[in-house]
Parts: sequence; structure tokens; C-alpha cells
Amino acid sequence: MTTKKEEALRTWMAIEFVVSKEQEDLASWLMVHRGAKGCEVKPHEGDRVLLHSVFEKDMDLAEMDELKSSLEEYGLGSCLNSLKVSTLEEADWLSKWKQGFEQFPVGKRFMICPPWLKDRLSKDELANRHLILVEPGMAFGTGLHITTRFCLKSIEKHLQGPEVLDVGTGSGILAIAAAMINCECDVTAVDVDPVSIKVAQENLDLNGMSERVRLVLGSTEAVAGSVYQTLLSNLTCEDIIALLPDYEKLAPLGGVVICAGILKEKLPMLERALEGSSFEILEKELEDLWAGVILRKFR
Amino acid sequence: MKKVIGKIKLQIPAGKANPAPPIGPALGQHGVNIMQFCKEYNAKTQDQAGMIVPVEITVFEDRSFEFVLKTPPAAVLLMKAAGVEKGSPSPNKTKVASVSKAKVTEIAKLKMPDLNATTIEAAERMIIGTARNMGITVKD
Repeated sequence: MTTKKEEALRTWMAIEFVVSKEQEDLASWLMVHRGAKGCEVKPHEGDRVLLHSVFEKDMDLAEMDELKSSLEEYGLGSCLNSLKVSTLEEADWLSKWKQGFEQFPVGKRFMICPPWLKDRLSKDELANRHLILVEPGMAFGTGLHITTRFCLKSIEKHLQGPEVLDVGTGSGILAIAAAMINCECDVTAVDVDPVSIKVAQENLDLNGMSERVRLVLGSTEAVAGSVYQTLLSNLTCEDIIALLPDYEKLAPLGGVVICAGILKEKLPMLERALEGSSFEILEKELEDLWAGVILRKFR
Repeated sequence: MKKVIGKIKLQIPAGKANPAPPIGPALGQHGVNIMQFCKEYNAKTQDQAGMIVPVEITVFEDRSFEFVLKTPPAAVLLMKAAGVEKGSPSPNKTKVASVSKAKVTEIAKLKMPDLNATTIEAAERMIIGTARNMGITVKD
């Protein structure tokens, strides 16, 4: 009998072999070309490296033969002697990092805390602050990153209801914050990554917000036809630009879009994309590598 | 100066970093904030979608990190230059495309900082070698 936890464990297939440094690029390309999610390059004896590539799905014998013959065809046949296949099981790769994860305040109204430390919080620490419990998992958004902090502070200042949409919710932290700060709001959170939806659901449960936030697997097309007075968009500059036409449809006149995840050097790209759109920049903030921008629909 | 506790090299598709393997286990063992790395890598590489952008990460004793992006593999640059989606299934027998010598020089110049080559001619020879392995011919 398997427990629920065991059932949920994901596995990957790893293929590793030794190549010369000169062959590293070609071998990595070939592995990605054949479906690998990526490769780690580890030092090996002399001027050789161990290439560790990871595939989402197992290969059958025929697929493995095909991969081996393509290594030979590309002049990498000498690596076949060292080729090893193994299975990787999901583990908590963040466990070592989590040891240093402690509670911290964000803006004037929020306190972020990992669930295992919540009993340690004093009344003073929580005075006038909403407590958001976040299990730092395999999804974006612990509250530590500048981009997430910008969004949380902007939620305090600019959130307007009654409808809020969080695009690319990740851990769900922004959707939870929006629901906490305005109890009249209906919050919808979308993400194209099923792992994020699972992590977000766990965080909603942790914070007792499952009734307040509707999670949807998908992107903006999954909520087409709805109207949101506030859109939360902590993605990348390119993603935000690609989504602008959808935001035009989803936001009413006066609606705001809280945008983050934009590298400072890419901000001019977004500004150019906004020319001729219905959005104007209401506020922008630059910190470290990042730019955060508040957009308002003005026509 | 902060003490270095680890160096990690990854070859990953631009804009697609996530905490699953190979990134999660590679960074997690050094106590790095994996999500922070993914966010920054994706933000910096998303405009090179379709490329593989290698990255070298240095981890310090306080678990902070720095990373340097490298040039995409010559194989990817050659395919882009040749306008083909993939290399030949049997590059020794079937040539799938060709690139001009000028393109090879361009790729060699771009790759120069990451290649073990002291002259541009040596770098070009390496790129031509990769092209040959992929079934791409080089035309004068």
C-alpha cells in the first residue's frame, strides 16, 4: 500500500556520460534536442566533463537505441562506454536553504512566515499585520524576492475590487495577500504550471483562504470574458508585453495592473510596448536589478 | 571577500529554468535559493527563447550566489544560421543544410570568449568541426 505522499512523488530519468570539454556544447545540445530539460556539467578527470542530463519521461528501448546512435552519428560515440541511466526521485531540494528561512515583515501590513515558525511569532510582531504563511516549495513567490515584495507593497496601496486576477500565481502568495487585505474582493489566480497550482492550493489551505481564492490551471484565456479591477502580473518583461492585449480586455477603465519581474534594462521595451495601448504608467520603482511598474487603464 | 563553497555549470534552455532537476538538486545541495536563481535566469534569457544559454553559478559560504551567462552552444547558433530546425539524423551521410564562411566567422567571434582558442582561425576550425558533425556544410 502506498501513502498519499508516496503517490505524489515525481520521478525523472537521468542519463550521464563523460565527454571532452570540446564536446560539451554539442553533447548538451543533442541531449536537449532529444528532450532533456537541461544538463549539469560536472568536472571529471583531466579535460573531461561528466554531462548529467535529465528527461521528464522514461525512454523505451527503441528510444534509447536511437539516442545512442545519434550520439555516435554526431561523433560522440566514445562517451557510450561511460553512459549510465538512473531514476531521480523528487526530494525537498530546498531543505538546506529553508534552514535559513525566517519570518519577515513586508510593507506596512504583511508578515510572511514559514509554517514551522508560526508559533514563535510574538503579538508585537503581528500588531496591525496580516500573517501570510508560506511553505517555500517548487513554485515562485516566497516574499523574499524584490519583485514579490514590490507586488505586496503595491497591493497595500493600489488594490481595488471587487474582482482581482493574479496571473502566474506560483506559490499563491499575492492572491492570498489580496484576499486578506480586502475581504470584499473575489480573487482568481491562474498558472500554466500544474505544480504551482498544487503548491498554491497547499498555501491557500494553510492560510484558510481556499474559499476566497479560485485557482485555475491555465493563462488569461482561461478567464476570458471576465473583468478585473486589479491584475497582478509578476512575470517577466517579455511575458507582460505578450499579455498586454489580454490585459486590455480584462481590465475596465481605471483598472490597475501591478507588474513586476522586469529587469531594469528591459523597462524601455515595456514602455515602447505601452505606446498606443490603453495603459499609462502610474508609478514605477527601481531596485537592484529590477523594475516594478503600476499601470492604469486610462481609455 | 566571501569564501566560495561551490561552482555549478548548467546547460539549460533560455527562459525555462524551474526548480525541477537538473537545477533543483544541483543548487539545493549548496543551500541556494533555487527560485531566486530561476527568476533571474529566466528574466535575463527570455529574449533568447529557443536557444540553450549555459550558465556558471558561484555559491558563497553565506549561500548567496552570482552567475555568469555563457554563449549558446555552437550547434544551436549553426542551426539558426542555416535556418534548420534540427541537425541531420545521420550527419555523416546526409547533409541537411549549409552555412556561409562569413556566418562561421560571425559565430566564431561570438563564441570566442568561451572557446579554448587563442586565435579567431582556431575558433573557426572548431565551429567548422561542429558543423561537420551535424551534417551542415560550410560554403565559401
